[in-house]
Amino acid sequence: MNRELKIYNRFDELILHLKFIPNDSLPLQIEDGTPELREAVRSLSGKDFDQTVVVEKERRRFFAEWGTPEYLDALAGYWSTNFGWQSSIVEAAPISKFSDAQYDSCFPTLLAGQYVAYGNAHRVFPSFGEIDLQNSQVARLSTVNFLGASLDVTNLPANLFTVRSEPRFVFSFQPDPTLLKTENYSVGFGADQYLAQATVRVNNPKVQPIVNAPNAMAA
Amino acid sequence: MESFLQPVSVADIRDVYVVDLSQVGSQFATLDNDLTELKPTLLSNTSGKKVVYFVSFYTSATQPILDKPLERWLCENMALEGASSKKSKVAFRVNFFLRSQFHHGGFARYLLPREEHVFRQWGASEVQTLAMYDGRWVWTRPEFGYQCSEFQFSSIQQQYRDWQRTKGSSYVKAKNLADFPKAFLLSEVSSLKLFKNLEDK
Repeated sequence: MNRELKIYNRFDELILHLKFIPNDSLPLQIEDGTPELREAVRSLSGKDFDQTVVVEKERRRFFAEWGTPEYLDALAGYWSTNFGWQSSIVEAAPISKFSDAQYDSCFPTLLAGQYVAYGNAHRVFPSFGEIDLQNSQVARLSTVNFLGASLDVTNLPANLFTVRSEPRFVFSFQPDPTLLKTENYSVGFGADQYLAQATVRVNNPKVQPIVNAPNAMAA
Repeated sequence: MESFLQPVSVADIRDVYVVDLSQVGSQFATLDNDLTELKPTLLSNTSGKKVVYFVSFYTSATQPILDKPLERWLCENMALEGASSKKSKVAFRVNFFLRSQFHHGGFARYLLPREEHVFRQWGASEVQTLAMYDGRWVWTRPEFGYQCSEFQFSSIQQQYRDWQRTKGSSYVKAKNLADFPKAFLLSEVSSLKLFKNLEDK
């Protein structure tokens, strides 16, 4: 399973974005980062990670063998314990397992007399990437498409929107139960052409639309 | 125990901690070498064997010199910090907490080279330590000759960059461990693993 680690400094700035790709000769790929942390990661190549940090008389050991998925956990643990940096780890299932994806949560909420469905995604597909909106940015959903067949966005309620809060991509909408059934969708955000994919399942269209998590992706 | 320590012996280790009082500060005038205790133990686990030993120093009035006994490990198969993916004999300095009235008497500067001489004789490739508390500053001073891994140094450099920003200072890159200011190390880094290559000398 592909995994991604993001590290943020005290100013909530992204200072490292690292991808772990299993069974790869270069399992750690630096997507983004400061020169300092790029250098730090490059120096680890081929080495098991073994660091101990002492905090308030307690020793915490962070160990992982090179090439294992746990390497990102060890790095995140070391940096957050030793320097107080925030971290997030996103797990990405291979695209072929899309239909098997597990989601953080999905729940319908009654809002203004209509059911609004929310899905929280924590997976990112390696072939696409991730929507990367900065703090409190809001992207308005501009298009919705069935995979393989376009859906005219004007046929959907006008108040479709998305908000992303790290590390989760959250979206909500007021669905028309006659339109939204168990399907895959791709969505775009304005001119940026970000894409997300969502499996929407309406168990009982008249009462309880449930959105199974969108899987955030950027084209 | 003795076969593990060869070609050195427990007696050689004991000799390291016999202090020539003319070589240390006047606050050690009452240190009584006859009261110094050395307690070595041979341990083994799946990754190999190690000798763990503790040393306690006392004044003639039996007042301890250290807040807790000095602790050292001699490990036969430990990952080297200075060489990737290589394991070898390593001496590990676990703690050295001098009571405050004995600070600034040159005790560490006296003992550490003596320790390293025996560690080198035993065959250690490196001496390592985990610097914490005041040790984050003390052990990173150039006279002790420690360095840290490139990974740690670059990580600390990132923290240093951000710390300078909070102070409104323009970024000055540290060239080596000794360049990091005391206030920074003691407030911004919880601990750091240091090592010294014993094979070079």
